[in-house]
Amino acid sequence: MPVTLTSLDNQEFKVDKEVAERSILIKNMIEDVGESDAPIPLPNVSAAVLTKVIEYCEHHRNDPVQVQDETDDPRKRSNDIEEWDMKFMQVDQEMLFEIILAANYLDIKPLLDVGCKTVANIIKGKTPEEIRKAFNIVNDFTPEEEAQIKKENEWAEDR
Amino acid sequence: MFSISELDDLVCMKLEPVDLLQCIQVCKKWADNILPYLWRDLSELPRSTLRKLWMDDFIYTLEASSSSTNGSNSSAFTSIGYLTTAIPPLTKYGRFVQVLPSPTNILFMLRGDHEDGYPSRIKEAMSTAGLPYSSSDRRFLNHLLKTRCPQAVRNHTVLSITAIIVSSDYCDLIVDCYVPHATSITFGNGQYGALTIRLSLVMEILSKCSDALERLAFHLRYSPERRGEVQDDDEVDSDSGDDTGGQLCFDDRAHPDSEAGLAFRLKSLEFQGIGNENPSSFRIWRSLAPCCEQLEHIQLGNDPRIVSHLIKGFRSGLYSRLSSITFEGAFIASVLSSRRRAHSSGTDRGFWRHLRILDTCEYGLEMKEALIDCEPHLESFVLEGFLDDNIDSTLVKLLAGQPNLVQFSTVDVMSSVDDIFSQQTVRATAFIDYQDWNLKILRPWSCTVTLTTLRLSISGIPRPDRMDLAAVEWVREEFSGEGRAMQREVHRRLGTLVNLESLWLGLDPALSDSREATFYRTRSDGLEMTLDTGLGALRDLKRLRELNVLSMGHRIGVDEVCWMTEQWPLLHTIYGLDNRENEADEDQDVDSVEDEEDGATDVKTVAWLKERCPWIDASG
Repeated sequence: MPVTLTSLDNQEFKVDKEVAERSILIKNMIEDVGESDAPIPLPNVSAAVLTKVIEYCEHHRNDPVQVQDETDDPRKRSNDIEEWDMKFMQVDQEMLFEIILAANYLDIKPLLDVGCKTVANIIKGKTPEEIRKAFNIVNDFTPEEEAQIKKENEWAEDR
Repeated sequence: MFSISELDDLVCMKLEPVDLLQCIQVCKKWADNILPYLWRDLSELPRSTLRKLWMDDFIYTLEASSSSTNGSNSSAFTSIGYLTTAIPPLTKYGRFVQVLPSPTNILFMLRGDHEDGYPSRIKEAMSTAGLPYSSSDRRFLNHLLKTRCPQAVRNHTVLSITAIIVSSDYCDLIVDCYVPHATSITFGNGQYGALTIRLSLVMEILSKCSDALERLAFHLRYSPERRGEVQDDDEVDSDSGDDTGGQLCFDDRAHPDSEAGLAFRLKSLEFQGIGNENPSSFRIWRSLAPCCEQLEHIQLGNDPRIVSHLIKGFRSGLYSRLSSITFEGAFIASVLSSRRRAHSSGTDRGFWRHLRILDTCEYGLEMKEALIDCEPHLESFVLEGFLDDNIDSTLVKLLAGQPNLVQFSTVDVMSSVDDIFSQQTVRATAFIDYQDWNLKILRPWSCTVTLTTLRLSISGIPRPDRMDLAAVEWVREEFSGEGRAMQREVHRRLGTLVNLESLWLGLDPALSDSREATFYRTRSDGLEMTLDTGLGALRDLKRLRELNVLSMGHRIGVDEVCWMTEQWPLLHTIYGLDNRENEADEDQDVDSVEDEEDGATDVKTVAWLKERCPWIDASG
C-alpha cells in the first residue's frame, strides 16, 4: 500500500509503505494513525532532500534491521561504507548536511550513520586549515589562542 | 558542525583523538562543541598523561590556595577562556569529564616514587601553602576529583573493584568518588588471585553506598591454602593489624560495627566462588540479608550456610519478589535439611519459579531429589550437567507435577570436557510414566498445556539383538518387539504435550563438534522418531517450530520429514537431520555398507526438504 509524504514545500511523494517505514518516525506515525490515505506532513524536509532520502530508503528497503555491536570501536567503523552509499553521498556539502539533519529528524539510523561517517571521512587526516577550507569556515582564533588550545589538549595525541 | 550536539557526537565518535585535536583548532564554535567530547572519557589515558594532567592541576590548586585564591572552585571556569594561560587544562576542562580513570590508575598517580619532577614540585608548593608534605595526599586529590570532575563522580554508577589488593588508600578513594552514586558494584572478576580485601573495607564501602545501589556481586575465587601469603607489602596496611595477608577473598579479622544501617535495597545479589570455608562469607550475607527484601535475582555460590539462611527466610515469606535463583556447586546439601524442615513445619510460603542447577556432579542423590522436589510453581527448570543415573523418576515427577511449567531442559552443557558420559538422560520407562501399568494408562501431567520447551535425552529403549552394533549403551530386548512397543509409548507420552514449540531429543548442536558427540553417536538405546515407531502420535503438536534429533543414533527418512511438514505447520528448524559428518570417522569396520545406505538416506531427506520446504532450516 502506498503512503503519501508531503515535504516542506508541499510537494507530495507516493512511496511504498515498507519504504516509508525505514523511517521510524513515519513508521510510528502510521501505527498511531492507523490505515489512512491522508498525506503525512514532513515540515522539516525539503522536496530535494526528501527525494534523496526516498532514493536511499528504496535502495535499502530489504535491509535487515540494524543491530549495533557495542563492542566494536566506533572509530574503526568510518571506512566501512558500502559502495552504493558512498556514491549516494557524493553530493555538495549543503545537501550532505541536510540529508544528515533529515535522517536525524526522520529517525533513519543507517542513513544518519552513513552521513556522519562521510563527514568524519572528510575531516580525517586534515590539518585545521585544510578542514576550514573543506567546510568553508573562517578562523576566529588569534594565533596565540590557537597555539594555546593546541597546547592544552596535546595530551589527546597520547590516547 | 551541527546545531544539534548529538550529531556532533555522532561524527566525533568516528574520529580519532588526533583528528579531534585538529577540529578544536578550526574555530571557536567547533572548539566549544568538540572540547566536551574530547574530555568526556579519561578512562583509557596512559598513566603518564593522566599524571601530568592531574599533577599540574594539583600544583596549581596548591599555589592558588597559598595565594588565597580559591583555585579548586570549578565554577570559576564555566566558559572557555582561550587565553587564560595560567590555568591548567584539567582546571579548565575537567567539568566536561564524565568517565574518570580507574581508582587503580588514580592511586598510581599518587605514588611518591615517580621520577618526573612532580614530587619535588609538589613538596615545594605544599611548603609554600604551609601544608605538611605528603607524597600522596589522597584527601586533597579526592577533593580535586570531586570539584574538577563533578559530572564524572555523579556518573559513576557501575563500579568494578578488581584491584589485586584493596588497600585502605584505594578504599578511601572509591568511597569518596566512586561509591556514592553507584547502582552496581562488583567485587573481583572471578580470576584466581584477582582480589584481596578486608571484610572491614567491604563493609565500609557498602556503608557509604546510597539507596541507588541495586546490584551487588562478589565474583571471587576463594582459596584457603593461599591465606597468609603476602602479595604486596607496600600496599597492605600492615600497621592496622588486620591486613589481608594476601588472601584471595575477604578476611573477618577486623569486622566492623558498620553493618547496621545500610541504605540500599538490593534487586540482584551474586555470590560466585566465595568459598564455603571462607570465614567471612556468611557474615557478609547476614549483614546484607536485611537489604534483600526487594531481591529479584540471586546467584548462590557454594556456602551452605548462606543457602540455608536464604531458604529459611524464603520459606517464611521474606524475599517475596525473588523469582530467579541460580545455584552453583556444593551448597546443595544444606537445601535438603532446610527444605525438609520447611515442609514439616508448614511454613513454606515461598516458592521457586525458575530453577537452574549447575555442576552438581559430586553430590548425593537424596539432596538432589530434595532440590528438584519443588512446590508446583516452577516455570522453568534447567539442569546443566549430570545428576545421577537413578534420578529420572524424580525428574519425571517434576514434569508431571508442575502446572505452570514452560521450560524443562536437561540437554545442556557438560560439566567438563573429560566427562563425556555425564549427560543426564531419562529412561523411557520413567518418561512414559504409567498410572496403571497393566492397562497402559498414562499418568496425567500438569504441564501438558503450559510446556513449550522440552529438552530431554530419552534412553534405555531395548533393541533387537544385533551383536555387531558397537554401542556404548546397549539394552537387549527381553522379548521380541519390546523396543518397538516402548518407542510407541514414548511417542504417545510426547504427543500429550500439545503446546510444545521446541522439542530437543538429541544433542545440543553447540556440542556436536566436541568429544561428547562421540558418546551420542555410539548410543543405541535412544528414541527413534519414525512412523514405524509411533511418530504419528505427535500429530497434535501443531505449534512445534523447532526439532532437534542430532546424534540420536538413527535416521529420519523422507517419509517422516514429509509427515512432519504436513502435521506441524509452524516447523522452521530441524537440527541433526544430516549425520554424515558425524559418522565419517567412526566405526568403519562395523557395518560400512549400512553406513553408506544411511548416509544416502540423510542426503535424500535433506535434499527433499530443501526442495519442498525451503523455509525450513535443516543445515544444523
